Amino acid sequence: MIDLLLAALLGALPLPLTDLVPWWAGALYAAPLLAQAWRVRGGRRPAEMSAPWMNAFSLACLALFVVDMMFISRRLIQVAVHLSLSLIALKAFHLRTGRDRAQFALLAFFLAVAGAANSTHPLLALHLLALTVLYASWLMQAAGAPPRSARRTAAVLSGACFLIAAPLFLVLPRLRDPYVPGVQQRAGEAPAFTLDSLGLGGVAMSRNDERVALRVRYEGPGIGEESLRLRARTFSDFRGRDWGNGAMRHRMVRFRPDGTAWLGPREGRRRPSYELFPKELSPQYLPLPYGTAGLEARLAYAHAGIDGTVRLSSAVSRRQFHYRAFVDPEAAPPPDPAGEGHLALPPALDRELRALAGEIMPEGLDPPAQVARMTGYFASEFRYAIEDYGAARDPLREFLFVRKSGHCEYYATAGALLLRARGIPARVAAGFMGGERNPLQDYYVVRFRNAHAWVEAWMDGAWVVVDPTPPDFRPSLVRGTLAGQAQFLWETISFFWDRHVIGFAFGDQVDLLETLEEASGPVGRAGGWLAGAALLALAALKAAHSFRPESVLLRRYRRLRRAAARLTKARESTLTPQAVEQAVLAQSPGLAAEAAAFFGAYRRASFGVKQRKGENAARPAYRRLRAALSERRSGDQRPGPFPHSTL
Amino acid sequence: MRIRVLPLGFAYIFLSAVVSAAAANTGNNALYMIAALMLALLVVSGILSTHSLGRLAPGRASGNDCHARSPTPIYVEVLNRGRWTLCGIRVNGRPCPPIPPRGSRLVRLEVEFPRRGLHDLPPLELESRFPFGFLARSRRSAGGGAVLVFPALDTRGSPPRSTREEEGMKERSSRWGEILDHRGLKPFQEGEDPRHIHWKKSAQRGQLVGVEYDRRSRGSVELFLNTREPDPARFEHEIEGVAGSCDALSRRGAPVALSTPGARIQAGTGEGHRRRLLGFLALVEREP
Repeated sequence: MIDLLLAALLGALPLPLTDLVPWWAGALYAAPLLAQAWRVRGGRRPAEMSAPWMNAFSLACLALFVVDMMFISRRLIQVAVHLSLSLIALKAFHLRTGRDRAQFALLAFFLAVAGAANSTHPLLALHLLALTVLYASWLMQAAGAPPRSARRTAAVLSGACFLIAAPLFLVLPRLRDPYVPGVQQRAGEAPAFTLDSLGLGGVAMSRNDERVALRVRYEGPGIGEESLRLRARTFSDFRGRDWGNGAMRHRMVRFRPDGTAWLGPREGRRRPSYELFPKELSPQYLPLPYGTAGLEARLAYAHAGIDGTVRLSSAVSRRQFHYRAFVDPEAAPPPDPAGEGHLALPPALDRELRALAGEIMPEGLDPPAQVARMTGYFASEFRYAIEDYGAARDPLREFLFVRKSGHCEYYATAGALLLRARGIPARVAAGFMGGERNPLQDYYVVRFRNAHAWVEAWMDGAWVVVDPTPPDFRPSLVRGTLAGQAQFLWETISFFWDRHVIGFAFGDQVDLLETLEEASGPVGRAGGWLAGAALLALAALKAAHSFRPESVLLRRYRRLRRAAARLTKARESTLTPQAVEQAVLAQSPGLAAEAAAFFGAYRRASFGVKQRKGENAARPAYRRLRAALSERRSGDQRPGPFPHSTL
Repeated sequence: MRIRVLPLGFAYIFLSAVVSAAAANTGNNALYMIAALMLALLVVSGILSTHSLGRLAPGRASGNDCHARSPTPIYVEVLNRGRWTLCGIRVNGRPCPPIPPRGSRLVRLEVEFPRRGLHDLPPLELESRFPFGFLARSRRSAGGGAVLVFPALDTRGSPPRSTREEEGMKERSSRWGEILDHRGLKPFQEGEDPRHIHWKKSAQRGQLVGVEYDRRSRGSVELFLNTREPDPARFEHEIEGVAGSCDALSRRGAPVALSTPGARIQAGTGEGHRRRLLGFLALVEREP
């Protein structure tokens, strides 16, 4: 029983880590189970609740369920989990019979499934292993094994289960894209650039967020600081407090059967390429490196903007997927000329911006020189700080003329507007910059704190990246050190788990099969087919041998015994063959010969004598006996005298 | 070997199917993991069930007198040659306590034979529900020897107990042929029949007091069986009657002899003689 209580505790462990159950509710649930486990471990009987109290509390739980559904949680899954928790905690006080324990185990099992299904952590494997040990131990104890032996055996069996489950996990058919509950983000947690507008301070909110947003694997020549600047969106319309991009036009891009889609008019080069694996990020706009000419992903279609950004349909955002971006600087850029909108200034700051721009970027300089003056001005006169001027009447004025300190979004906004004031079309871009290189495996970890905003300026007929944020305060590319290897080891495990377990999909199954096929060669393939066929044939033979039909005589005898038991009001299991025979003869004395023939054949069969002929010969006798018993049953219900005996 | 899926197994398979369907429907790989684990547990259960059944072996069978047409208990030893403690074992439907590794347990069975004579012990059906009780695998095994089935005991013709025995007040009978008259009291000696202790006097005196009897002997009884009886059914009936008398008289201590037209067993007493008589009656055949 202690195993069952522990299984119920352990099964609910992941729930407080999700938004399904708050911590205090988890503690309320765990307290009675722990108390019961403590009592049982101390050799005492578990505390019990009387049936009337159980019924009263159960009704209270149902009432709570209705209230929860209508006023508190309002989500069916959440409400169902709350109800299960309360019923399990209640049932822990009423574990008298085996049936009670079975009901408790079933409830706890469903709770464990709900907990595991909402978990994406690599430690889920250990959690499932522990649950398997506890449930296996409980099942063995229910089958009659002594507790100590059951636990030891269950531990060994659970290890064997994992070894068998691993290949089973790989071959179970995947019909849909992998669903990852952790990818869903609550309102307010989504990065600013995944929304339709970028508020001043939106990116800065992520600056202390250490969660992994995505991982990037780069294939190509050496990667530089600028190579890990991943743009998700651009914004052209400044509205005083935030940026928008309502006028952006998109076109639908269909993915080919091989999974590729090209953003330009023709196919480009496939190297260098970036493989991006979003983790906590639910990207509606794909972060892409500059120069992206094509994509490879398991998608049907996407929407490409004229600025080169790519937007997904919302349905994809709740599913785990990864994509590859092909970078080809020589590919024709998308037709995205600067327009009048890229020169617009906010009316409230128009005069002051033009005056400041004239001061720091004198006329007569070419655009690159003006850009250099502008970035130099910010580096020398401004201080980087995570500050939010949302409460101020005009945040940008507060940044530019009062505080002279702020973060990347203020720098980018001010830089873009100053360039516009000097007649250079500009817009703000947002995404990620930099990351940490994992020295154990060649990929980069991009965290939410790598979120960044910068400026794109239209110079010499193209959009050029201009970053007004002082270089020391931009997110940068960090090379992992050996000292941090333990952290990166965990990161490697986590990546493997996310990529090959949580994100395992049908395409991975196909890849795996192809890899195996390539590795085995023609001889190996033929051997594999032969071995598979032999295994199937062996299994079929074994099944045919194992599932032998029950003896006809035994079946007929059981029918007669059942009929005799009904007639005599005796328990069927207490009737011996002799008692059945006597009952038959008591009801129909004229059938002595038939009874002798049938029961003689049955006795010979029950002593292991194989007799196909005997079975057939006894059939007429059986029919007469059966008919006689049926007639008696439908007529006289008087029980016949015959001795009872145990079988 | 037969496989039977038990109700718990059906419930488990149903649960596995539900979880697998949920995994396929949602694409949640955590559910796929649970489904794979549940299926693996089923596979392990099947493998271990087969393995455990192979490690089970019937040992010796022992029991008391076995008479035709009456259920008789026998004790069958079940051996575990494996390295696991096996639980959920059944022999002919009877549950067996957990068997430790390299150990054995006795299982009580009841057998019933329709006719007297030498019979093979019925085959044993060893069933294993190990480890989780999902599947019941069973196989038949030889019964482990022969058993001499004595005739059914027909006690209707056995001699009645004497009036003096039935009164049981002034005299006691411990064995047939010894009529015991109450003579007096004496200190109880070690080795005497404990039934002769006078408990009331022993309690009064604080030491064991025995009752002293006078002994008178009585003669032996000779039973006759006609093996030339032409009717087989009547012959069997007679055997059962003689067997009933033999058993009753022998148990009461009477010296019993048995004779047929072709053979004679000398009078004797005791358990061995009783079994000798019944054994003879179990195997005797009708002469033409």
